[in-house]
Amino acid sequence: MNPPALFETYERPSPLSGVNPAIKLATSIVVMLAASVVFDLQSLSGIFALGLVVAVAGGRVPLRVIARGLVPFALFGFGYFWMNAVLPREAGTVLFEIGPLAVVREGALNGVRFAVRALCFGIYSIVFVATTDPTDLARSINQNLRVPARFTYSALAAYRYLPTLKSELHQIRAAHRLRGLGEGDGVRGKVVQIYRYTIPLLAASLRRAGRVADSMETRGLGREPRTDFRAVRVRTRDWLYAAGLLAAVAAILLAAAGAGVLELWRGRLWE
Amino acid sequence: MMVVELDSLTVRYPGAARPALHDLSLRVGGGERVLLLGPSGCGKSTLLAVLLGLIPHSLHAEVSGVARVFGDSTATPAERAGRVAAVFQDPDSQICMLTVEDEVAFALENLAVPPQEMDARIDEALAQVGLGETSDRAVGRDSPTERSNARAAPATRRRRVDRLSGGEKQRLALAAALAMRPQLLLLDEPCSNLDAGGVSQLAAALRSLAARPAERTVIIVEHRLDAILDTLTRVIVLDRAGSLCFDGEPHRVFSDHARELETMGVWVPAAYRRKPGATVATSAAWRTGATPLSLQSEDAAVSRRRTEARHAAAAAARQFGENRPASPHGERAAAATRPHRADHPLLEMRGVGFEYTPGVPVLDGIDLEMHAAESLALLGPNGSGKTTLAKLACGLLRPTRGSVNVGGRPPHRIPARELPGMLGYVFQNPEHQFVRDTVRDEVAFTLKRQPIDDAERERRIAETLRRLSLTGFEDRNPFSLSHGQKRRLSAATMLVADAPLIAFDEPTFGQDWGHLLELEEMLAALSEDGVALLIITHDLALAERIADRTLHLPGADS
Repeated sequence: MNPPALFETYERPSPLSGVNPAIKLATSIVVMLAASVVFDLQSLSGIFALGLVVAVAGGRVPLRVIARGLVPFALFGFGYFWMNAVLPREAGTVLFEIGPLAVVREGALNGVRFAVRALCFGIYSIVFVATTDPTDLARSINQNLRVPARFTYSALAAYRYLPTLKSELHQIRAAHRLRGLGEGDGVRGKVVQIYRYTIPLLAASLRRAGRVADSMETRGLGREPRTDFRAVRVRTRDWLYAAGLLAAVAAILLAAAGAGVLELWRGRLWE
Repeated sequence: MMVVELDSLTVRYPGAARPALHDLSLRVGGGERVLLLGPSGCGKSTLLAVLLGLIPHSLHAEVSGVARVFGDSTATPAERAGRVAAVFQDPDSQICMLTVEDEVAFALENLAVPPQEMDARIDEALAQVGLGETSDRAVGRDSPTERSNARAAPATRRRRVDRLSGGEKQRLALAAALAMRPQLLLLDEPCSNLDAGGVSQLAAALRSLAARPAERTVIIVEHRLDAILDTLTRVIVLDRAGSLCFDGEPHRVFSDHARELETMGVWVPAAYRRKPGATVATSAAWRTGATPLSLQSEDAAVSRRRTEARHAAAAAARQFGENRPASPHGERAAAATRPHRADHPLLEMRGVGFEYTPGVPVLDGIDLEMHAAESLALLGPNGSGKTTLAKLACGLLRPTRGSVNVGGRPPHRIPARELPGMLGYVFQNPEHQFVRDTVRDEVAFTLKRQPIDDAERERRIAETLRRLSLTGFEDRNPFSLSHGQKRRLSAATMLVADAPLIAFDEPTFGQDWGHLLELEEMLAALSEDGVALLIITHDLALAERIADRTLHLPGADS
């Protein structure tokens, strides 16, 4: 059987799918912040490996789903790697040359750190997205973070219509081809083409948004007080998850410091 | 207390030339079941929006007179929720949650129903519409993806709404409204975006809850509901100006006014129609100079078919400035005058099979040939592959097995710029095809690469717009047209390049009664002009009236 799409993986039960969504989200964000502060390969790799373990063991996310989910982050990371490897800020040892481009050792090492950091962002996003029911997230943000229902449920409705948007785009492309419009030639053609797709897509979306909003209002959205069909509570085990994961990250950083390799990022996007 | 009291209600949208509702006064009491009818644009939906409080609270309109619902005229939609509930037209623009039970619970949460009562109310509402645990559990077959996702279907309440069929979604919307236990239930064309199967599902649900409880008032706008006619107690008809036209007991209104209603373009139940199958020629706009385009009755339809081949040959001869004699094999003669590979049929499919997922054929062994001036209706339930077949014909998909030829060539090999002259395709949503900012540019776009001079170009554009009653709209933005006009413009962009074959994907889908008649006339007129039509439809009556032959695709289970 094919693995599920990343955004449908949450339907499989796992230890992580029981964790409070708001806390799980906050924890992932804190770890990403930690990965943004440190800049040594050992710490970053450790944080990434930890995320991988959490996703597989805690989230039961299939490896193929993880691999597919990491692709955009890996591409982004490769971009950083390449830029730093051939255009380092400071001169260094040339490893080898590709035509006029010289790959510099120090730059390449910096590039690898940026790339692993990108993967860290990827894996902790997957840990959250692949194990969280969007409805539970909306409820959690409403109930635990006290964001008004009007906002959380509107956002959820928008999420519900994302697949519709995709199928509409496919139809528009087919329709344009039958009008005799190929996919645009050159950059300018592509830009014009996107503009042509945007108008019908926007027209349909605006109309739909208005109707969905009307439907939600006639069902009492915005009335206070309201009750909750499913209460999303914050329990001890949610705090244990957050504390456990953050403690593990702290341990990695301490170990790196102990070994004398811990390095902090100097805030430059290009070393 | 009256449920609805209207006193001289007038509603005008900003910038509109005339009011949507004009000086409307009426009363509706508890327990009445009202059918609200009127030609398109008569303000039926506007009236429901007023009763829901959407006008003036969410939609901008000038309102004069008084509209009281349960004695109150100022409450917002959210404040009315619970007492008043509504189901709207499109199942895909009113469901806001991801699963069945969350959707029904949404309203209950907003009404602050105690959580421990919710489960029982959700079950009750789902059972009322036939979506309960024990009832029909068929998984929707709208698309192949849906079929492949049917693995281990979760219990009904946990099903995801994006995996429901259209009929199931609309019943879910009804359940969400019923769970609030409203005293006034408003249904705004709940069937208009459903296929035949969805309509019968929804009609069964409406029937089973008719008159329960007796004090609930129902106001329904719909024109495809012969099935629930006997549960209604009253019919209110609005005219094109948005004023009250007829009001009374259903049998009285339909038997006394059937003729006026049909003339207005208002739906009349089959039992009251003057002549079964009769088409009403409404818009004089369709009478154009060249050919009498209005189709009056069955007899006319029969004679039309007899003369069709001759018409086709003549039309083809006209277009190419040749003067071929009409032959008994007029279709062949017409095809022969086409510039592309003269002796090929317009469309030829041989042993065509198609699979979205390997091993799951959507179509298999399809043989089909279409010649000039022929009209073919493609029938079959949802998921039977009608649209897939049409997409294969246009080269939007390539067959897994067999061959497809358009004018003797596989369509995917035909360069995009040549396609418009070979075949046209009017999508369900014509907006998807618009690529320019004015009606004239939209039509001219098709001719962009044709080697003709400016005068000829202008002449053909003007002629095409006239044929499709779009004269006078040249400078309008295509997106600002009415739904019927958009479909006509879409057809115009195909016709201007002399597309000899035009496919219509569900032309009647989501159309109100007035537009249905208008569309039928357009199709009849095109067919009469010698254009071959491939009509994908659920509408058997339409197929019977327009098509020379039908191709019925069996459903996936048969």
